[in-house]
Amino acid sequence: MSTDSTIAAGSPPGTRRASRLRPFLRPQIIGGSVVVLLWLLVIVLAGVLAPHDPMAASGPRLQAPSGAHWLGTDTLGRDVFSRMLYGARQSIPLAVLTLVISVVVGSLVGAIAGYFGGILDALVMRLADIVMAFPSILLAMAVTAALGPGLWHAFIAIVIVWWPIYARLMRGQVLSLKEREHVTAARAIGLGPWKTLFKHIVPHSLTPVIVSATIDLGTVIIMIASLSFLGLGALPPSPEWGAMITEGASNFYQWWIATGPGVAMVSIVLAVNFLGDGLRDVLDVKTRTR
Amino acid sequence: MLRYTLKRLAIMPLLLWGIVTIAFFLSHSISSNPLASIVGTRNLGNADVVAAATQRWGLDKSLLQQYFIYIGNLLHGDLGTSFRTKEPVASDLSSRLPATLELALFALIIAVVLGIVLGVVAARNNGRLLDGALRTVALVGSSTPVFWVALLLLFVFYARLGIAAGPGRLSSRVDPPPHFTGMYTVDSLLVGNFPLFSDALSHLILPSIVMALPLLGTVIRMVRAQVLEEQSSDFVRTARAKGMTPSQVTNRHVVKNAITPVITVVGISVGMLIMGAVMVETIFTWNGIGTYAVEASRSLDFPAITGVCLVGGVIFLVSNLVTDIAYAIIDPRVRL
Repeated sequence: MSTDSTIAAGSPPGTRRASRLRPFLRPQIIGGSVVVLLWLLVIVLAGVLAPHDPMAASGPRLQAPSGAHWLGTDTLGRDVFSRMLYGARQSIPLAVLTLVISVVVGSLVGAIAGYFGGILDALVMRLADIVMAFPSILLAMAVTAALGPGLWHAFIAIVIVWWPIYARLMRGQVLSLKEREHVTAARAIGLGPWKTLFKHIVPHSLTPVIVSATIDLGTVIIMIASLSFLGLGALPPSPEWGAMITEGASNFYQWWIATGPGVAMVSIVLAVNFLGDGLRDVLDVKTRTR
Repeated sequence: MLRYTLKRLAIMPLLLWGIVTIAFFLSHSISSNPLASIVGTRNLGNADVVAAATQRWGLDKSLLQQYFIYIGNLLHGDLGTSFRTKEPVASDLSSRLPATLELALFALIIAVVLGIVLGVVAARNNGRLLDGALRTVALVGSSTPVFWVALLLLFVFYARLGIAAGPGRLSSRVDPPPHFTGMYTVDSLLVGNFPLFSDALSHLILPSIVMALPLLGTVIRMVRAQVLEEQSSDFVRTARAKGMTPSQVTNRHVVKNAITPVITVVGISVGMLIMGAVMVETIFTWNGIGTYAVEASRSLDFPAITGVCLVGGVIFLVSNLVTDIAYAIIDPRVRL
């Protein structure tokens, strides 16, 4: 940013902040954020926005969309639109939580392995290699099969599949940062290894990990829904999007049952993908290839 | 390159051993009782049946003993016996693999061919409306859950318009061709049965398009970016200076150079294709590895689950290695 110095000279405060924000003002990022914010509103206000109880029958069964039921009713006469709104409360927070836990676990493991090296590093990274050698859906299916179906079990399954990605990423970052001067300086003034790692290395390594996690959010939302669709995640009568689409699949000619949750999922996944792509471009982060 | 290949090949058995070990202990750590899926819930009350089954399936042995027996058998090519089908897992898998391969190959062909064409079209219209439209389609394609698209397409093209074939590999009351490769399109051609071939092909179209979609987006984006990059290189300027028209330059020089990286997509895509196979096969009642995996997971059939993980892992690792090697052969600038 060569413009910073010229602006800082005489401009009022605020202009400088605006110029820092400017790169983020791209249609991708703005559009993505708006849709994400709308969904956050839905999550908070689902109880107010939903016209009907998502768990109880509110009309005749299998009604096509109408004024009373915007997206029709399902096999038990429940309002599909209300269930779609409540579905956001399950899929989105769970996907975010899955990523947060995967990022925390992966980063911790990767940072420690990268900084201390040795046998620990070798063991942990071989384990990561093995997990990444699994086709992820098969491992997730094996885990949910072992634990039994359920949304929380799907969560555990995806964390198990996902942490190695961030462990590798963080390890690479730490390895390259560990030889920098400021780290050597920190060690020279007598800072312990843990403090050096978590005060002087990890904070500088987080950007690519977080950007990568943003890009993965869409995939994780789809993964959770996929497991539910297969009957390994959320179970009926829960208004989870994947489980709702399963119901639509067995009532094939009532197209509206699967349409609501499907469109909802596409909109949020598309929005986070836009957001992630935009952030990656602005922050110029090289994301991993898998 | 030979050294690199050998090194990768040497690590592979270790990785596979890791996969098998994890899958084995995962599936054996369950709280639920596999006996229910072996003898059926109704027989669980019958002590004699349960005792016989426990002994027959080796469930009375300790976990570690079971593990070593399993690994020992594995080294002889024995993947165990499925609790559900009561058939050897290896023969179950080999009878179902061709169906999945047929589907995945078609999906791959669709994604690569269509992706290259659309990617080049997008690049040639760089910045114009068509480019924007194609890029949006690519992004929507990779953001849409395959199982939902599958339902949507089935509803529109099969249920409503009646122009596509329904679920399944063949129409009902149509007998499959004699078994050579297990791929119905190939086998029907081998015996010269053209009506059967067209029936099998028509059933392939919809599921393979669905499976191709997420990949298609990746290929379009990649080809587009590559074409744009190549267009700004020196040899393009020289070709233009010689008097070639822009479209001649694109067709003769740029595209050839731009599609090399598509090979890597094939490697990356195998994971996606496996995921796609699981979802697409479930919806299209396609009797392949994907449905086998789902049925196994639902019925706690752990020999089958471990077997599927092993086969999936082998496919995944081998295809990644082959991709890397192929890339180095085609593009001499890449050193392994």
